[in-house]
Amino acid sequence: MMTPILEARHLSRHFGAIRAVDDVSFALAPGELLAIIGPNGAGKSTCFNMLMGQLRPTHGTVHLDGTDITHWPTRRIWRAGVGRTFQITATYPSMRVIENVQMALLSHHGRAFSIIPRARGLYRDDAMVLLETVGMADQAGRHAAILAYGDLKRLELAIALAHDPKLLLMDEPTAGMAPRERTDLMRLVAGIVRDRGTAVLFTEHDMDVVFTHAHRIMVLNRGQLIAEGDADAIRADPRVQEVYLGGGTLAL
Amino acid sequence: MGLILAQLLTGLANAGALFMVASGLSLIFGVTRIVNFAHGSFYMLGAYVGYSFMQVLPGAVGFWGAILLAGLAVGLIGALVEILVLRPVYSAPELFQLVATFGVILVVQDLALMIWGPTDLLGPRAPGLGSIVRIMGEPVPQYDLALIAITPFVALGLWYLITRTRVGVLVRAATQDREMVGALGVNQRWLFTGTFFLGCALAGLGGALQLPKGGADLLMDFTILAQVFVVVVIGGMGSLPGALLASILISVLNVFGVTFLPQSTLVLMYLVMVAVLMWRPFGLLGREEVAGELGQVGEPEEPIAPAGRAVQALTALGLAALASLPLWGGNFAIVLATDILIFCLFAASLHFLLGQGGLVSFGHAAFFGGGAYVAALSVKYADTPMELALLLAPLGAGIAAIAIGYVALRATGVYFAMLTLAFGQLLWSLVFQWGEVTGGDDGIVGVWPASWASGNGVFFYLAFTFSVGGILLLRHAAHAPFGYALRAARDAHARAEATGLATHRLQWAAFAFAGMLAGLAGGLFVFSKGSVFPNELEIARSFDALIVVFLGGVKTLSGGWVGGAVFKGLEDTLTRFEYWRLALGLTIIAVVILAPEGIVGGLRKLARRLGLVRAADAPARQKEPAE
Repeated sequence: MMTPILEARHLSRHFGAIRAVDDVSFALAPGELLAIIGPNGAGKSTCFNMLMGQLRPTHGTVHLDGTDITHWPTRRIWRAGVGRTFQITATYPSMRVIENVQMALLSHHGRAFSIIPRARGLYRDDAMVLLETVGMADQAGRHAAILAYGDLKRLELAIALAHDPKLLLMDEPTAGMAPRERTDLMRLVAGIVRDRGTAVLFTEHDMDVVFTHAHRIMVLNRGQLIAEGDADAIRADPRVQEVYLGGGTLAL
Repeated sequence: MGLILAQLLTGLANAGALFMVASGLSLIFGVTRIVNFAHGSFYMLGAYVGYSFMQVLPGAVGFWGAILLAGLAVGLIGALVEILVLRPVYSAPELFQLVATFGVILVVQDLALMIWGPTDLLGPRAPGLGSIVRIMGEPVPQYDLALIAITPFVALGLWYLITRTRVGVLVRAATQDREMVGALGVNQRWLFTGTFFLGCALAGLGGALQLPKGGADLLMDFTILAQVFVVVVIGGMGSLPGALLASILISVLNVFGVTFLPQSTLVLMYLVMVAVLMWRPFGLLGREEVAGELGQVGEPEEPIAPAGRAVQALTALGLAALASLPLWGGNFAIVLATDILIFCLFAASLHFLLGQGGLVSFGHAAFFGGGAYVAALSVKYADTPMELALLLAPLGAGIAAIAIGYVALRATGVYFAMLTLAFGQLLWSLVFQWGEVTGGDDGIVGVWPASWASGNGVFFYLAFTFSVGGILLLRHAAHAPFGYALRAARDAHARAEATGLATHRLQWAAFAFAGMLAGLAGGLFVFSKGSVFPNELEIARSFDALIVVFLGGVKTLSGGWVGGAVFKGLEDTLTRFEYWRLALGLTIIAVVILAPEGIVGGLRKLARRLGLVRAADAPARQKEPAE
């Protein structure tokens, strides 16, 4: 097997006596679309925050392309080619849509401290291409603060794609979206995986989305990894049924 | 041994009044999230009102009754102020309310002057407690012992109120989560008013209680305010035990300081504060502030855009008119315009920090005064030519900003604000008390411009060039990637870090940049006045800039200099009248209530309503609206 793009080894995070994430190990291959599912409080977001350097693991390591990045700050991990979207969208409400993307491009080109040129003219074309990718080009000039939630999610995806990441972490990419929008967005993400070879790790509550698009699925419960496999294997797994339906059959 | 004990007792006695004022401020902040700048004014009112009551009420009963009545009266005045001045602006950005409380300070100062006159009032002695007791041979005033006895009762009463009563439950709940309390159906309006009543009553009580020791004068408000801020910050915002602990610490420290290190008492107090905050950024018993207030509450800021043709033309026209002033204006107008220009640069530098960076600094005068002193000292001790001194001023201020920013930026929100205040005061106390070098209170005089620039007209052009240049530079920086990155760090910190932005370094750079330009303004100021005094470093000067920024409008690009021009112009016009503070204070309060988005924000809204400019999100995007 080739080097995994991302590998977590024995990842744990304890908050006092609570083991939010407990000895979780997994690997992600380039071009793979891997879903983490699990009930609320299973440790999905904690896991994400550790992968992106926003939270220090209590134990365990994270490797990116074979390099140990466990103690790297978030922005260094980003520079190494990891993009992320947040569970609650994080964009810059005081800027226009296109400026949100331009900002990521400015950072990518190392010009955040520049005071010579005006920012609004920089990397406009690149930003437009990214906005077209996510279908937001017609809203480029709008004020980000007044966007609909689904549009914000797409804008955030455009921002996360700005430095052409090799790995994309998406925390509940379709939460709060209408069903139609969810399908569109996930189709978009699947397309990006196909075209660019980007690996994607995402958490999701919508099982339709997960079973339709994920190449592989991991199930977290109370901080522990209880199952892993493709859609059919997960559907059939009795422990997963136990977690989700308390023993009944999983009607999926 | 006896001396030390006596000192300790004096310190404890002083701690009483300080604790009452500080706990009031802390309570008000905890519940309403308002940093009540006017709290010192309520303390002063307590002293004056108590004095008046003591004149009419006889005997011991009258004395103590007057103190209680003073507390009650001041509490009622506080509640009234809350209802009349603060209620209308709760929906505005939280820190905007600071501006309103600053207006209250000015109003109270002049009202006190009107009612009680300019002379200091000597407090009456407490009946039966007018003499001294000898403890281990050292004289200790009886009244000090009485204060030491009273303070624990006040503290206990407060503790009982907060921990054992329904009101206390509400207050504590509101301190932890105001929205939740509102959602549970508590009437917030009256909770806020009630808290103001209690907090101000405590301040009034403190003011009245210290009458026999300190009397009443018109400078009490700022004197106590600086100390109270120190106490509240050391103890932890919103923590009553913290306020008690810190009051004792600071009072005892002050008393011993006066005896053993009379040259550096003030420095000592602020050094302790800085040390405590470096060790515990949220004070001894304080909690971390969730969700830092960045002056950005309310409607989201509109995207910025370079000025359109029309605005550019208008600006050019305005600048040309201003530049021609020496040709037609009188000497007075030229000097006034120079003053305003310099102040505008100072205000614009803070506005950049606050508006673009979301960094609310309470101590920006450190860099203005710092630059001024760097220039003045270099002239005094090294005969530095003006040209070089004007270079050293921003350089020195910039270095100071790098050092102060290094520590202050470890905290966020109101604690960042308090740390900058502490450093500002530290610098002020250093200059004030290190008389051999800085001239202390006498300042440094005889710092005149080079001979070629000594004419008022020529100096006006010098100030014009640097101030307008500096303001344009700040404005350009806001449009540059740096300004965008700063707003990104302010808008969504996690997002900014997750797209590679070094948010801390960006903010640090902005702090240094703003400090440098404030220093430049300070340098220009010295040469325009020919002298500099410690009050250029004072809290009041920092507040001036802060008020101006909010008055002009934080969420606009030109709020800083517009606010500066209006404020300075208004101040210079009004100071010709006897009760100018009253007028200025009322004007400030009126602006706060009528235009909660500041002058520029308010004008923009008005212009939109009249159809003069298009809204930022109008469908036609070819022409960007001017702000």
